Amino acid sequence: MTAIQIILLAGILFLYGYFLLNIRRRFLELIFFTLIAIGAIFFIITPDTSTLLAKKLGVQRGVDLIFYFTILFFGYLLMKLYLRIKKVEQKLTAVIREDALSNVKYPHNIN
Amino acid sequence: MTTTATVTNLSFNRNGVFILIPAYNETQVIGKVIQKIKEAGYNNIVVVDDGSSDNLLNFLQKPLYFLKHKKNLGQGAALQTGFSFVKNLNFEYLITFDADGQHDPKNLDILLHEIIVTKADIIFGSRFLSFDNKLPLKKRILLKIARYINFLFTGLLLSDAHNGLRILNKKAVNSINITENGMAHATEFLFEVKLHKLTWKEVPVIIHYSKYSIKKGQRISNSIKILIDLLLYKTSK
Repeated sequence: MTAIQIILLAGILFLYGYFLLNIRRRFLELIFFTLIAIGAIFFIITPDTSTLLAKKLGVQRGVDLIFYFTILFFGYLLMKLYLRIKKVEQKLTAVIREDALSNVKYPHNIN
Repeated sequence: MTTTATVTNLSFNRNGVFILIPAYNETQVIGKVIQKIKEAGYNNIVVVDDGSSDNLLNFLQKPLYFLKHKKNLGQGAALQTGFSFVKNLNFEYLITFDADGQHDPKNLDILLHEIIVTKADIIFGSRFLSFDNKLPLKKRILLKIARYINFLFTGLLLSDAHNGLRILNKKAVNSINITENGMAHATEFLFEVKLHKLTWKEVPVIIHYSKYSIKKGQRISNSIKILIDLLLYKTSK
């Protein structure tokens, strides 16, 4: 095994372990990220497989193929993050609005 | 000042009309804005303070209705808070009016007349239909581009969707639900109009640009943010 394979494996295992510690019962996400981790470990240990697969998909190098899928994956993560932030923003807006509506100053009692 | 007006033989009562003013750090001009609205005969004024850092209430001509967001959320959020509040009042029409002094109170009778005569659910004010509104060139170009982007997203072709001057009837106020807190709410408005099959029309309105209002207005960078918000809005619905 080469040095880079060891480093990448350590990185994947660390990320996956950190994810497991914070997963909080989101089972679908658990399955999804487990598959991603398995795939990553597989391609790290057998890099030639990625090259074979790449050529079948019309890509020159295995690492390029992995790079393209990584971009897609990050796009998916960004979208999820955006939606999560939107949800939080909506909850915050609802709380602030409720407070404003509960403390209206009416014409007859405004100074 | 009388609260009834007669325009082209139509007499209408301004008592059923509420003016909704979302405001953020507008202490310099809002006092005068409200004074002019009252001089125009409109006394039902609702100010939604969108988390201003100064004590806006001290600068307002009372009596009026006043609501305050504890934190700044955006004009869209302030408008929706106003809508949520006004729904519980005895109103016939609601006019949204900017706090920065750009909107001329002469427009209020124009809008009211138009909604009564046409029986539309919403009348949008437009800077481009007539009147010699001296828009800065950059703003003119930006708004023209925005017009077609809005059309692409909503299918509605307005000459000026980003004008804050609108009048809505009860049906429109009760139907529309703005979830975009920022300036993309103007486009979301059009989505809501289409979704709820609200009838609409545009009328020319008078706008006054000052150094103050231009400084407070939208920058090109804001426009790019609005576009991104719109793209992501579509994906989140």
